[in-house]
Amino acid sequence: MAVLQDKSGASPGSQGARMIFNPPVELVEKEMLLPDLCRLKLHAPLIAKRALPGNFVQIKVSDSLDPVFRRPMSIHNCEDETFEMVFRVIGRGTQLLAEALPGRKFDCLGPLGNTFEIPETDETAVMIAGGVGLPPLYFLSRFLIERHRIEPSRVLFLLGIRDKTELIVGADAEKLGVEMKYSTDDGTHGFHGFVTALFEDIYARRLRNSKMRVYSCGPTPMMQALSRIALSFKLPCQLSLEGAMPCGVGTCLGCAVKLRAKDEYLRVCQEGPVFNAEEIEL
Amino acid sequence: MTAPNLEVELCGIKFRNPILTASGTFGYGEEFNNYIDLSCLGGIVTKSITREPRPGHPPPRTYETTGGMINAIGLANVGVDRFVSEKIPFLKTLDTRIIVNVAGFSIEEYRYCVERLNDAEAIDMLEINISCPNVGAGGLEFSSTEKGAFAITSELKKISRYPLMIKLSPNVTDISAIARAAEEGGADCLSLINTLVGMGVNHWTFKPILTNITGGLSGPAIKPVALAKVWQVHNAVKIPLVGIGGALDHFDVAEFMIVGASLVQFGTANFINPDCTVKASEGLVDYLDKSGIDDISQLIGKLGGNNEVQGKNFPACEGT
Repeated sequence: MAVLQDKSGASPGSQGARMIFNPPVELVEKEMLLPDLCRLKLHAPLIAKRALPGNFVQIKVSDSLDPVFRRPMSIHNCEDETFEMVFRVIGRGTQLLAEALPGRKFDCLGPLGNTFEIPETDETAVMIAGGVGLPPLYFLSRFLIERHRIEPSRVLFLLGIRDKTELIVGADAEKLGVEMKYSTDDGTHGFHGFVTALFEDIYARRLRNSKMRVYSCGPTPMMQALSRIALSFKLPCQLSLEGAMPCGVGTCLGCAVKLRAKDEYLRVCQEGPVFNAEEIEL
Repeated sequence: MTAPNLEVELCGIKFRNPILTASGTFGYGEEFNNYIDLSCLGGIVTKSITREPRPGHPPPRTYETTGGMINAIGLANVGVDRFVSEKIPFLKTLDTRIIVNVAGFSIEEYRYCVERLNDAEAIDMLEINISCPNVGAGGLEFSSTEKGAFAITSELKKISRYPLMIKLSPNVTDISAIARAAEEGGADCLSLINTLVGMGVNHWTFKPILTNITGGLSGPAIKPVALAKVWQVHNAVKIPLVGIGGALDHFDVAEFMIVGASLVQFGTANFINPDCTVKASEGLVDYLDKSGIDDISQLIGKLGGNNEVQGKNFPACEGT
């Protein structure tokens, strides 16, 4: 299975080819999509040039030691000399990011981590996102369509949100022309229930005999459920994980994820954040 | 005007500057190699090595807290045999001092590691970790009693072909007594402090944050404790000291040296800014220039009294 390549033809996800850039990145646009959902566009030519779907950045949200560590943020999109992050405001770090004004510069490491595999030519790419797990999957979908000339109809995008007020989360993916399905916790839009149940429903009704490759990012319970489904259906499935990640460059060993087969751990920041569902135990 | 001398000699070994990386915060050196020029460092202290490979504790292993972090990694490492075969070849290529941190659960385990490392190349010194707070049994007994500290040091001193740096725990009643016992056991130098035992609690779920429940507190939050311990031990022993605990920049290096350290290890700071050590070495030149000091060794143990001023040319308001 091929890994993605950046514009220079290199594959930063492979060991040994990794480069880490540390330029100051400048906030050029900010949009509050919802009261607690923020999109930032940052001017960062090196990151924008090198980043691939699945990669993340470690951004220092404060000039002081509050909070102490950088925040790992997945990359939502890259265009020309900018990249975008979409995130929910959940704590001190994301609050500071959301309060920043255009012109503010951040110290930022990236692009970091590995990348998704690309689907075979006869496979449907199924994206299963839980809420703000969407960014790496949006980036991947767009990359597959624009760079790998994959027909949008070969991408099925399933997005689980709390209720219909969060439909904005899927707006960018809608514009790609992919088949888009929603699930809501309260049934106010689309499928009533978890996005993993939506996937099982669609799989049973029409995908059972299709070749597909599943990609997912979202809350841990969602990806635990999806891992079980993918394993039972024997589907190739890649998960983009989050982790408590003080360093982001492989030295602190804080972001450990356990291998399924043996009593060993991998580092989310270094061997991930993208893992095959069958190799790890969530 | 010539540049001030940053070179420091410790146990007969010359270090380019007093800045080392602390064990457990710099991997085996490779992880940072694409990012900073490792030859700018005084030396690298590698991740703790045990006789057997260890997977470490289940996650969550780290918890960010005010001014620092609590970790319970659990001495995850590749084991001494793989360290020698897989990590030493890279370390050999580096133009900096290499200090290998050794941990264990019995004297026999420490001895095995030291003997195995005796056959390796590129090592300048061993740091003996007798103070990891994150393992259930074994190692801590060597740092929590004078008898234990003396026993492990004297046993390893007999067989090590390298100078021994004994890493001390702050989680004891009297660190000076432990330090003296290690000195009597033949320690060539001491490093201090390891992390302070701490914990985090989720006030919604009533559960501990870390799977291991407790962990080691590190980062700038512990710098005042570390300075005090270095100063106390400096007054208790004659062998040189290496300061550890919350150093972030060149001013912190100076402060550790003033209270008695000859070298200073940077730990958690590497997670905050991966190039902190390089910037600190650059900052030291500027600091010494401004202070009118031409040799950094002149700082070591020069703490003045309340009414004395040891430094020169200090800016009137800086640091207040």
